[in-house]
Amino acid sequence: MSSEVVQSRVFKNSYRDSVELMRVAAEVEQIPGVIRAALLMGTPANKALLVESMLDGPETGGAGPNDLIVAVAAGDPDAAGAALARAAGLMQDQPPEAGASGPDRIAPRTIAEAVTQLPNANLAIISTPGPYATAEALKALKRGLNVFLFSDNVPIADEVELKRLAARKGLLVMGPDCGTSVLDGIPLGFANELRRGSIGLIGASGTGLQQVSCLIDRMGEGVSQVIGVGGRDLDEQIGGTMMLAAFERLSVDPGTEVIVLISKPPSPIVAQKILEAAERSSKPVVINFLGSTPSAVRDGRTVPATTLEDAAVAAVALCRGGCTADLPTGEPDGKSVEAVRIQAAGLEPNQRSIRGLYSGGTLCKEAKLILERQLGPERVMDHRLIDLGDDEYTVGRPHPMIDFRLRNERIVAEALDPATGVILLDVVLGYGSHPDPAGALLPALERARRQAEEQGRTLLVIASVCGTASDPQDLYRQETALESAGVVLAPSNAQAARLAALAIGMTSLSGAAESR
Amino acid sequence: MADLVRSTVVSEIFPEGINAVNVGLAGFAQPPQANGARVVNLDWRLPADGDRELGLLLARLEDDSDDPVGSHIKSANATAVQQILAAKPVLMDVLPARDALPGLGPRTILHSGPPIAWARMCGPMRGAVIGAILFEGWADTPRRAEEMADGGEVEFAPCHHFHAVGPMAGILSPSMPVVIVENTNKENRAYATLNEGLGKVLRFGAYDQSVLDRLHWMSKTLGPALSETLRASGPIDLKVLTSQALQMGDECHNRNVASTSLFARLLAPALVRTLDRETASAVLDFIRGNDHFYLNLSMAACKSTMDAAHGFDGSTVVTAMARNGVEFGIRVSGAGDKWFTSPVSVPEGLYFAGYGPANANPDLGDSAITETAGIGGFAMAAAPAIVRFVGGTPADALNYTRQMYRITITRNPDHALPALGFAGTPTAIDARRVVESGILPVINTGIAHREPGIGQIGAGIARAPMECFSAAIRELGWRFGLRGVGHGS
Amino acid sequence: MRAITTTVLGTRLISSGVVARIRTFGFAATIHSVFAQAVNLLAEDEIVTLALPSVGAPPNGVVLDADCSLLCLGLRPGMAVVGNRGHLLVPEAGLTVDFEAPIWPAGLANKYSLTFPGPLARNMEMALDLSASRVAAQGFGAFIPAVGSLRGLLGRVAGAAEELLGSASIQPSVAVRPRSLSEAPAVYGPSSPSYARSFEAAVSVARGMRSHDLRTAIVAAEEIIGFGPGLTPSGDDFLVGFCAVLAALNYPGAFSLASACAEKARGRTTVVAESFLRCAARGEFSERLHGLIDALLVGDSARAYRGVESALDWGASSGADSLFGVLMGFGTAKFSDLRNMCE
Repeated sequence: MSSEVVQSRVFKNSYRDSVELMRVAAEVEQIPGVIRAALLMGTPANKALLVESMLDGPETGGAGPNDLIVAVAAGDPDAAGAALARAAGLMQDQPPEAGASGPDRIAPRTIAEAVTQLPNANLAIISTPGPYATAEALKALKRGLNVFLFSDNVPIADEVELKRLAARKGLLVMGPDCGTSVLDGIPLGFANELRRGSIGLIGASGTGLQQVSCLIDRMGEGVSQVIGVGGRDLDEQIGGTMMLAAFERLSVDPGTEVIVLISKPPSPIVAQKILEAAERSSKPVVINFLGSTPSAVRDGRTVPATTLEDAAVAAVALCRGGCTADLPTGEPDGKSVEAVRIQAAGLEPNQRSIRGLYSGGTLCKEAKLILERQLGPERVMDHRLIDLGDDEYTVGRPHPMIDFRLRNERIVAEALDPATGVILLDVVLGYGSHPDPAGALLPALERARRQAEEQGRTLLVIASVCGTASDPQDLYRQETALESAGVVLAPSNAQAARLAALAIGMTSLSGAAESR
Repeated sequence: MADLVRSTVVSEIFPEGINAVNVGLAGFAQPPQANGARVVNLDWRLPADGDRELGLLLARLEDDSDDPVGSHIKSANATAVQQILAAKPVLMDVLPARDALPGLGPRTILHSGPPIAWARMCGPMRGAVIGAILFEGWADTPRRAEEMADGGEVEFAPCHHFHAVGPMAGILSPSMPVVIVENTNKENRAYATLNEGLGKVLRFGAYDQSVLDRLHWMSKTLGPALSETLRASGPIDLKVLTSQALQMGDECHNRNVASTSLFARLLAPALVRTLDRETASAVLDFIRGNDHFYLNLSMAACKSTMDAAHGFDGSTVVTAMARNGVEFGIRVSGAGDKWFTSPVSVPEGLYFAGYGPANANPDLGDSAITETAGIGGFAMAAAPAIVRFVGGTPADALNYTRQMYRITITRNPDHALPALGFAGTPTAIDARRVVESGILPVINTGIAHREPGIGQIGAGIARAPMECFSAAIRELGWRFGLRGVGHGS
Repeated sequence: MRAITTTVLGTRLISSGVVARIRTFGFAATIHSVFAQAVNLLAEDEIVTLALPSVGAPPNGVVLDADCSLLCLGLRPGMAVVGNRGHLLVPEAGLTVDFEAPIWPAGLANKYSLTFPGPLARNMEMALDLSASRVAAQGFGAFIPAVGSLRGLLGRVAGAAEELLGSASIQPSVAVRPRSLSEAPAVYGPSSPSYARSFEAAVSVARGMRSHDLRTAIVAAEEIIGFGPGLTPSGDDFLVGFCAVLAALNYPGAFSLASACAEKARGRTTVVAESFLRCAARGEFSERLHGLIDALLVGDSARAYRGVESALDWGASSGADSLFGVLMGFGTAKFSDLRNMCE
């Protein structure tokens, strides 16, 4: 008697034909050693029924009315386990295509198979584990498909091979580790819902592209294409192959009037190649190489941009025939400066450190550069800006744009440090990101503030939201929520960094430090 | 104020719209879809069981018109496939093996599957060898027969090396009558013994007097009678016959009821006109008592078809799958005459009363040539009755065939499957697809007792082992000078 | 919007209950579940059903112009569905459903008068015999053979539950956890005390409505919502069938009961069952129920027989459960205090 065991399993949101459920229950009860089996939807009434039949278990309590409970009582644990496995198998086995139709319409397993079901296939979106992504990308290219390669950890030698092959075939390899692209208005990866227009963006940085395109959208202009090329494209080994290929496309694209190129500092040889291409182009080109603007850029026809915001402003101005009216100047506006002054006044004298907790790598880097300029390189050591999207933090967990737990923990931890004066954040919206980032952040911000207050301090939180009004999360809703929680908001990441520097009180807003 | 009334041109990189294949996280499909792109989600698995190097090699062997390797493989496969579709196997004659098989030595015994030495042969195959030696009269006791085999007085070779195929043990000796099937498209010939029926039979390793008596009757009476009849009736088109049988519930490997009946109907008039009453009646009785009579004809027809597709340099089409009871072996069109082998397992199936998997011999026979040619297990949709062997439903039968479309290059329109809307059978196994998808070819098979002479103890469904296909892919890669990792061609 | 489709299905009927919702621009839903004869879409928190003609018009959806198994369309739970005024699109499966079709009135309310035409008594006798001869393995249908006294139940609703529960195979009990598995009752069917209690509650619903004690009826109904196997649990099938008859006859309190059930259903039963209860609260029922009620009420014996026989084949237990509800509905109305006033 005592060896009798009950085991159960809950299938979330599982909807099966009741005839099928009955068949499965009957079949499972035939298994030797099985005393009883039940397959029921987890309604409260049914859960009570299970209790009464002694078929309830720790898992069944948590089942909801739309979850299917499979519960088995058996003479020994092995029989119970086998019965559950059998039930699960019976339900999964059921081929979705049971009818007597033609041979098609099975989910394809290989690219070769998929293209037979999708005539005119022209793109592969690849997000497999990195070591296996190369093979998939190769197969896609060989079949004439462009590749959006989201996977990271792809060996650089593989990237070289893929991009050479693509260049030979006149195809694009967007990636590896490509966060975003928007082709013909179709968002890929972590992308924002953008207005269509005449500015074409090419970038070796996902969040860099998102920031520039969202700012363009905020200024009332739109994008023709946003082409991500992967973070290493401008490394010497890759040689900017894809940026050049994409640049050629946009140069002849009738829908593109202005081209913006974004990358972290490239290898000098590659930078030279890109500049040469840009010089040859008949279209105005804005270049942002994040902090390293080669002197050649300043001399030529191309327009250099120091920050991502500058790049967006320059592109919009070019698009409007050079008119800069109504465009941001890059300086924080009076209202936010005032808000910072008021809040900063409450900081203790030793609260001199900025703690940046970033989900976007390029945004983090941009903020560092700005702080360095504003505060001087020697003072930057006081502050700590980290990119939580870096491999070191993402192993075994989702990206911080999706999962806010790590960032929330860090926010609370930083607040406990008496030296922390300003917490600087980025909030990235768009497809793929968390459905409600502000909602995810607020409890942690609240806790951080409370803890600081308990220790007799206040805390200044400055953030910028990268997104558009059409994004699923809605830029304005997010901004309002953050603002109502006392967060000082800047329209761009660059301005947020400048506000942080201002708050720390080491520099004026005049940009004197910058011109130094 | 900027001039806001500017006209913008919206131009598109993809004027035909974005048609994307999503490989990996399913969530990436939704945003493009919601914006009007067409996206097909792959049910992606690690290719080559997670062997990254092999997976890369597969990618480098992919069809690609711009690439020397890819274009070579693509055109070689197209040629091989064309040969399979155009094959026209015709039953020409029935003659003793020594007269029919070019180059067969006087003391040579052929066996099923890849090459194997006497010492390593499984029980049923050893029994059948003893039976063949006794039948040939080379020895008069089983003990002496074994000594001959032990002492190297008999030569052994696979049937396949002589363009022949044999079910189960596949033992073929010079005096046995064989069917001669000619693929009139390429004028190549293939051979198979005549089927002995069920019960105590040589192919399951039995060699008692009743077995030998039957073999003698077959060589003295049945073979010549069929030969004479065929001369009177003229050659019989086996492709048409197989196609008809597929419409009648056969898959022409493990179910041959319809095909055998059709064959008898075709043969009967000429048979009674040609032969004396007693012989005609004996021959027809024999066919009547053997639901699998057509199996050996089907196998020879498939062999003549697949031989025509063999030897196209670079082709990844599988041209033979065969088991010798110890190893499973395949041959690939573009990889020469090499066998790629792996240990063979016991099939999953239904056993006759009193037997179980413990009694079973590992899978055996050349009959998987039918699957190689796109019928048998690949045409399971035609023969739902077969799936009862593994406790399946008619829907399972359709799904076996549907699954095989995923690893084959084409559909054979001459072999239409009514249950799948008259789609052709899945034809020409591409070794690349097998390794990439992990979907193994399905083979309908009989199960032999592991002791010689007991015979068939069940029937079921086997899968070709992955290792054979992986090895073939590595060989092809080597032939093209490709490695998996690092730079390609 | 650009979309390439490979399959276009027409629509034969579109239920009046959903016309306004699905013919709106910007209708958005996801596929909830896919079966051979029906596909459920989840739009906001209500189900919209696309059914094959063999199922008949659902109260909350459309009848497709198709006779293939819907499992063959490549539809999978979770796929996005978008709608425009004239059609509905499942981009991932390349499927378009055209919504140009006549509107089918799903409303059953007040379709018949509270007078009972001749055939009803005879047809109900037949329905009881027929359903008793089909031993259902689970659901309330499992009780029907056990109660020849259902006849009595229908006649004397008040006393019948006791009679019923006193019969040998059904042991009323309080919810006690048995000491061991071997003592525990079977999960499905008549020997389970839960079932007996639920059955009793079902009877109480009828009893309450008969005596115009709406509160009792609602309390009892609450007990059986979400009870039993299947995607639409037995209790809900019973309630929908019961409410359908009361609505059809314009029985006092019919709408109050249905509305209360729909309200209580949130979180207590599956979203599919909840949707049917919400339709019931709007007086809308499936074509199947329309047909069954019409067949029993005014059909000749052949039509009634066919109606009951096909009802018993709906799903695994849904048919018997609904039929039980319908019969109890007729019993309630026929033997209510109103009877004398109306006849």
